[in-house]
Amino acid sequence: MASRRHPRPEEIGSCPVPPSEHDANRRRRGGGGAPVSPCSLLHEDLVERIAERVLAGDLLDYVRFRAVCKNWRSCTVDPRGRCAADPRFHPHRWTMLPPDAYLEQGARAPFPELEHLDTVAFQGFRKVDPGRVKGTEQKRQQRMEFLAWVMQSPEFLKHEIFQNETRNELQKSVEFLADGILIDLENQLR
Amino acid sequence: MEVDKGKGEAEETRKVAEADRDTVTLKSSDGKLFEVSKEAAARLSTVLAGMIAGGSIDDNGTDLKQIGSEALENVVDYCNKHANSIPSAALISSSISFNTAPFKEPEEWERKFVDRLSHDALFDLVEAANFLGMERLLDVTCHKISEMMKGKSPDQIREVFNIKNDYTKEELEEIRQELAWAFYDD
Repeated sequence: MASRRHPRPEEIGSCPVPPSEHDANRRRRGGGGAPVSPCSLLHEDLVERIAERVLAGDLLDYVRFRAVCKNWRSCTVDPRGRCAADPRFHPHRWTMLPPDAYLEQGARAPFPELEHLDTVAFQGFRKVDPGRVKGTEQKRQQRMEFLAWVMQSPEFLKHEIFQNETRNELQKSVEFLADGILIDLENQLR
Repeated sequence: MEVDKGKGEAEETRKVAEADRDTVTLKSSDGKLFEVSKEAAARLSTVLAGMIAGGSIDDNGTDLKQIGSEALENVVDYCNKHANSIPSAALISSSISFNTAPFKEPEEWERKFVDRLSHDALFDLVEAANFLGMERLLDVTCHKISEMMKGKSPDQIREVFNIKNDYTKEELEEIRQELAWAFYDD
């Protein structure tokens, strides 16, 4: 599967013991010490597998999953920069986040829906203080979501593509993401 | 000559009888014995299939030192339930082609099976399934765990699964800034 990869040398130390060294009874009999968390001891393969299921549900959950502990983070693929290239990282259940400009101008947002299709989790995105996200990263996220939205709404594309504003936005998004992919590739080759 | 031949035949017969047994006995790390249908074990676990094919199954209980009795009981329970359910072609193929078949949603009985487990039992079962190469059981258990994380903040996940936050303040702030969009309120 695509997420399988060899750990980088610096990650090996932080990954848990292989299953062959596991003691099946290790957890509940800790000699009275603080309880050891079952998940933080999970083998890397299992962390990856769970992460994959999480990612299949929602990219947002995947990002939160990776923020839980160092081990989980080091065992899973960083979604940033991969969103466009790898379909597993597409925010497939999200709708478009309109650039703030649209709202500030008081114009009608050109998009019919602004919510995560499953939950209202998507709303959380809009509560974030933009100042806390690095400009480029934020722009990239917005572009990515715009593209994701367009991709799953061919009807929208058909109707709106002839409006200059939409077409420009689309063009910029594609260029922006293409640049991002190139930079990622260069980094990987280094 | 005749005697030797007779012995050989007896040996043959015994081997055939062993091969004909339709269950295998598994022994947990704490010495408890469990019987499981040979057909189901071979179909659901690549490791057990290999042991059965290679003749390394012990009639008095095949030692599985890495698996505690509670987890092994669940494994056997799963195998038996699976044997009783009508296996769809998709499930059979997913247990054969390790790690390549697309994920299939758990069936109703599989959901019920994992829903009743405690956290500890669930994680023990994941590890047992991993050890035994039980692809489908891994899918079902990992799916369950991922569902338990759905919609939760990192803090909530840590709380539910009793995980220590091992990031330093600085690292945490960095992650927050990188991924501010994934967090609800701050």
